[in-house]
Amino acid sequence: MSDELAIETYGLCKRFRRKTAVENLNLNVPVGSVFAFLGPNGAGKTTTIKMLMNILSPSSGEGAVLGCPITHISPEIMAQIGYVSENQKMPEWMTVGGLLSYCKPWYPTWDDAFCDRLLKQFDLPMDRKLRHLSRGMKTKAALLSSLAYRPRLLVLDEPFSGLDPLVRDEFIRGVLELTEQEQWTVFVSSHDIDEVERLANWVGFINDGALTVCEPVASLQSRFRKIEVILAGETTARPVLPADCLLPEASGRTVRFIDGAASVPDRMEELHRLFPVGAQMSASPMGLRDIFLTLTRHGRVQKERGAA
Amino acid sequence: MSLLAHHMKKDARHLRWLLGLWVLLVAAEALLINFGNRAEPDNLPAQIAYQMISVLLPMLQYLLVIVMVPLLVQDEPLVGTTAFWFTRPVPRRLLLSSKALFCLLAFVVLPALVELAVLSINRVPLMDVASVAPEIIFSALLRLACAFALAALTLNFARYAIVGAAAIVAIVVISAAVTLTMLFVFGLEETAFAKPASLLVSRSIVSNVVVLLLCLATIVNQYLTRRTGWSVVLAVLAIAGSFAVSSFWQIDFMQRETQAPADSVVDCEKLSIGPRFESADSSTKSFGRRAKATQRVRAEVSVHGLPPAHVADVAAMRTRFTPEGEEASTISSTNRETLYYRSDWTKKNLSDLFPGLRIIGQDITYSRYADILTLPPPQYLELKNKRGALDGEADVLVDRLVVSHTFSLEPGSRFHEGPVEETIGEVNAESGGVIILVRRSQLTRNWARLRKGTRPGEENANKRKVYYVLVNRERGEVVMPNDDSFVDFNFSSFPFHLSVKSFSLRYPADRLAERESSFAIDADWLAGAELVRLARERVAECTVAFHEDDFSMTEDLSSKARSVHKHTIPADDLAP
Repeated sequence: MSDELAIETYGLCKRFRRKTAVENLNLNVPVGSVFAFLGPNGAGKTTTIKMLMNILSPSSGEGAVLGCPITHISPEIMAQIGYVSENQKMPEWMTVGGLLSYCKPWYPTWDDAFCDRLLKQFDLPMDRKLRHLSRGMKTKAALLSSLAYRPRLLVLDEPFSGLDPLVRDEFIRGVLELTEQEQWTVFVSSHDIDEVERLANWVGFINDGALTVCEPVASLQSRFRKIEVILAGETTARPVLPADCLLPEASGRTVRFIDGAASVPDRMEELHRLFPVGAQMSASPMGLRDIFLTLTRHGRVQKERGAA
Repeated sequence: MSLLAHHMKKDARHLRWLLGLWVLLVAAEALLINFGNRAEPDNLPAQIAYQMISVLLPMLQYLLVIVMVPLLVQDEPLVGTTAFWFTRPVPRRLLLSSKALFCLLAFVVLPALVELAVLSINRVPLMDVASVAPEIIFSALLRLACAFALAALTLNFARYAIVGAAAIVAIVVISAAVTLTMLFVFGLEETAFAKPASLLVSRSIVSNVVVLLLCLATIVNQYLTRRTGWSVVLAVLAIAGSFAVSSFWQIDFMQRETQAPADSVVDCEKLSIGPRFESADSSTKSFGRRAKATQRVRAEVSVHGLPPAHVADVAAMRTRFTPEGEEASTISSTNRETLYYRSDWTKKNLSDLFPGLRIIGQDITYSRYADILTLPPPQYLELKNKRGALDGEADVLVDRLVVSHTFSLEPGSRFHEGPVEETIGEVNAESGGVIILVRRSQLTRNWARLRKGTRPGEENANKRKVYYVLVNRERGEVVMPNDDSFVDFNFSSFPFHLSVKSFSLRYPADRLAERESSFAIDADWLAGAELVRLARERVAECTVAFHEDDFSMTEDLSSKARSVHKHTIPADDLAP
């Protein structure tokens, strides 16, 4: 297990009877990164996180969190992990103050001053029961109880669900500020790309239980481009595109596809050779959302072809 | 503050209102037991109120336990994937210890201490308090373990309630199915109805131990591994094991052997059985198609040869009938006594106890029937008019009638023997008679070892076993009580180990007054009278054989019955 990786998995699988939720997952999350774990609904994000937190046991494969095997996460390691999930059942009979008082003794690194600061920042009422808080306030309370001990790893599972835009913004700004200050590793799963894009410097795409991408955001964005080729004159013959070009489509003399080749100069050279002389070729960069949509659609197309 | 205490404090805060209610209920039960049923036996509204409260309180307590335990356990649920504590540094062992300790303190130690304190306050001897303590703790532990295991296997209260209700229905249905199966396949003799009370107590103890151990295994497994599948298997095993033990366990470790007192004068060799058959009283028992129908030939059985002031019960009979000239048709059967009430407190027995005194009263005579033969109906039809030889032997339990105490007729006069205390409450003279109110507190131990033919709590209280006569030695008269008066129709407090209640004794009976008009109880008579408590004391268990050459199933053979004797209990075993 590497010291430079906060999370690492090898061939991690989870099967629920006949359904495979996660298949052969190889994930590396570097220490200090903000890792966005993206995928459509039902892709296997939450299942993966539950395996990482030892809530579910994997069907096969192995993994480690902060250097500790995921099937044997000790309370000492758990005390260095902060976890916030939209699905988590909070002890709703407790007040915010009661929750913090209950959590504090479990964490040797609990920082009262930091907790007070966060409390002011999140503007939470100490004496109100969790069951009487709005969803956004509950998420803030969960986050507060997961940050006050300065965790080395913060795991956020769909933290933005149900939050209004203002709270989302506060939440993201809060996490960004803290990660910059504290150099924590943040592992955030979401299907809300726009929000995550502001946070993440690493990204992993999971679709149908399989990890399709796991790399820095900058690398990913420089690799993926939208290519549009306008063929010259009356040419109707279409060249055969490289197999790794995604979502090709043609309309009249225009051919569009997504290119995600690892080496951009080589790929451009190859494309220039493919298309007849006179064709106009343009490449435009893509945002994380477009890349996510492309990979998701491509996954569906592959699946339909496989089924056919 | 340790993490264990921290966690328990959190749970106490969570359940503080229900805990308060629980403490109130425990205190209320303690008061109810302590003060007992002091209402007049004939004050029906008060008796009904007492009965309702004494049933309601334990029910409320049980209800509160089965509500509080899941609230406590499921605050940190063990199934599902969304629990808050899963992602917190809470060690599983610590969580288990915290919950278990909390439950033990609140639901076992507290009520047990309170109940034991109440027993002590009521002058129950320390030895008896110590002997009943494991029983009290065990029963509290058992109900706790069942609720705890179920709560550990379910995600929330709704599922707990649904699964619990389903489990109860399943248990009732399976229980009925097992009983009916036993009845149809093995016959009445193999069902619990026909088993000795001590065997049923043995079965109950083993069954409860099995359930408790498997529930504990379920809980520990669920906390330490969270492998719910295996935990469910353990829970199902607990239910199945309980049924298996309740139906088939045969080792009767709760039966108490009789040790005859040194001064016992019973000689088993001298006892004889006098069967007097009732030709009309045979009946067919059949359950279902597969079960064998049986014809029962019954008889009133009496034991002869008893020393004065001794009585006997027939616990079981084994018989063999061989029709004349048809040795191949020999039939044999084993029959238990059909328990009918019979008063052993007859004038004759009382005369033996009080020689030289005039016994005033009326014998209550009830017949006691035993199944002499059990045979298939076609065989009965074939043999019923035939004569033949009947051989048999009966297990006979012999008790000596003794004076256990003499009360002076004053309020406060007290009898105290082991877990039983009786105090005279009031002595109210009425026209020609007297009504005496007695308050009895008695410790009933469900785990007490039982002599043959007795049931838990029966030896010191059952009216077959204890009797009260009014004696005036100066006048040379012994008055038997009114038959109805001794039937203490005030209600029992059955859920409690300590039962405190009052009953009234009326002397003489109204019917008696009509017949013996020369006799009346007045102030002068009462001035020299005392209330004598009589009891039965087991002195021997004998097996008595009998043989009848000229037997017919449809003829009254009382005059022809002859007996032979068989000595089965060595003299050494009867020594104290």
